[in-house]
Amino acid sequence: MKDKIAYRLPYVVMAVLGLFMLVQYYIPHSAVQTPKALLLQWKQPLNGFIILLAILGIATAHIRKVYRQERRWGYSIITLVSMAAMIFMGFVFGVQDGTVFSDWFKYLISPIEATMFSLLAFFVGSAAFRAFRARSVSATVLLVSATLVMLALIPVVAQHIPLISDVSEFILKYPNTAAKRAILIGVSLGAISVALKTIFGIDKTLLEREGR
Amino acid sequence: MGDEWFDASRTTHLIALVVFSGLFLFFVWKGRKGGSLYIRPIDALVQMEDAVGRAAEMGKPMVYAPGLGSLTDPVTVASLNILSKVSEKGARLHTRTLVPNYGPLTWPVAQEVVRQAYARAGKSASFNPDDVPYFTSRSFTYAAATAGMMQREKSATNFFIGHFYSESLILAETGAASGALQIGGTDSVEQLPFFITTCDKVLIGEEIFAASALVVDDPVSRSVVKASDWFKVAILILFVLGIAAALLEALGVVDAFGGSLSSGIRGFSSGEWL
Repeated sequence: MKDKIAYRLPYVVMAVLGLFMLVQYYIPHSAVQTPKALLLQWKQPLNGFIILLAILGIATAHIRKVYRQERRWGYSIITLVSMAAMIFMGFVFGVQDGTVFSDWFKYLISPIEATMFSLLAFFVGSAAFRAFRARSVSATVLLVSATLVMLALIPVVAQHIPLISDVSEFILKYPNTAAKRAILIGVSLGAISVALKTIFGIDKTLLEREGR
Repeated sequence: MGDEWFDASRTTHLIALVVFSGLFLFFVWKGRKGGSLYIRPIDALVQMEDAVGRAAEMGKPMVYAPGLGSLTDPVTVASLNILSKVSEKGARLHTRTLVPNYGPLTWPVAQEVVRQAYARAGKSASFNPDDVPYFTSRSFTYAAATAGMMQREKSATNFFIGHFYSESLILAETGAASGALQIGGTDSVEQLPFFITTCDKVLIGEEIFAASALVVDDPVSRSVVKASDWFKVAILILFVLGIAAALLEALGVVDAFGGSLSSGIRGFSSGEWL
């Protein structure tokens, strides 16, 4: 009996909260909006707990690697030392501008991330090279329309070929927008389906337990 | 916050939701009764079976990135459903599924999903929690870590299914350069072209939700996809009616319903008719 309740309880909680959040969207009355605001507030400590869980997860995984001296365990030491140093600096000296924590973030982490971001330029080039091969009718349509849009963005070209800007604008405004909207409608309906499946307890993957 | 018990400006949303929920429940009922529910096969979903098999034949792992969305994003939930089936099949074929995680909330859930998949395959002892690590919540750091994972582990198959931002191309292009078979899928319209150019098969937008329902091979899950399809038919009919009415009015052929049929339909969709 206890086992049955423990199995069913998460589904009941999900259904009740899901229905409540659905209904509150249509009811502006304070009797409904006040508990909604409270529910959203509860998310904050939950998020804090989850971040703590994540930190413990990273630390455990890397300590295990070092202890077992698994492949590339030296990098795990760097990860653990860096993590401990950031946490220590943040707690002792604060995280506001001008602190060691902030400086390390600004002058170490941000440039590393910017480097990754800048790689995108090269990846776009190689992806475009692969995409712009007229292997089929649709690939040819893509090649032609992309070339037109790209050319229209070059001021000299746009100045000397007057129609190209209009064609580019047409491509972006009509076929492109229509396709985007079609995808968005589908995505929205799919999202509603997932929400309803969760509320009605049809979707059981995330709450699955061994032997069930 | 107010003293009203109903927000009249949202009546259209409510009607649409009631119609959709009605269709949803009708098809669930039909599915439970055992009615026939044919759904067109999704190319990328068919390819997934081969993708797992390929990794097994090559004796290399698979990488499954569930995206940068939170667990509150329906697409992440759908992605985890697909992950469940992919990792189960992988476990049956003695193939590891590596799942790099971006969100600290998604990570324990993904770990549990893969653990359960191994249990279903009867391979609980083979599950290694380190195969489902949490990396970071910074997008480009996540991209670097995941790209590194793909290169170090020499994955035979990569799955990128979920919500992605601009790092999508770094992930997919790194995988493509290593010669892995790749299946992408996202609800982010801006990132779709990147996946289309770099992945072998792509789940476009709603196909992720359909795939997540279809991987669970039961009639109730199929019925959810069916309800969504019929609702789209209703939307299309409204589109056609609206376009036709606007054209007829513009041409001066008809001016129905005491002034404006097209604005009536437009008004219905925006709630202005109230």
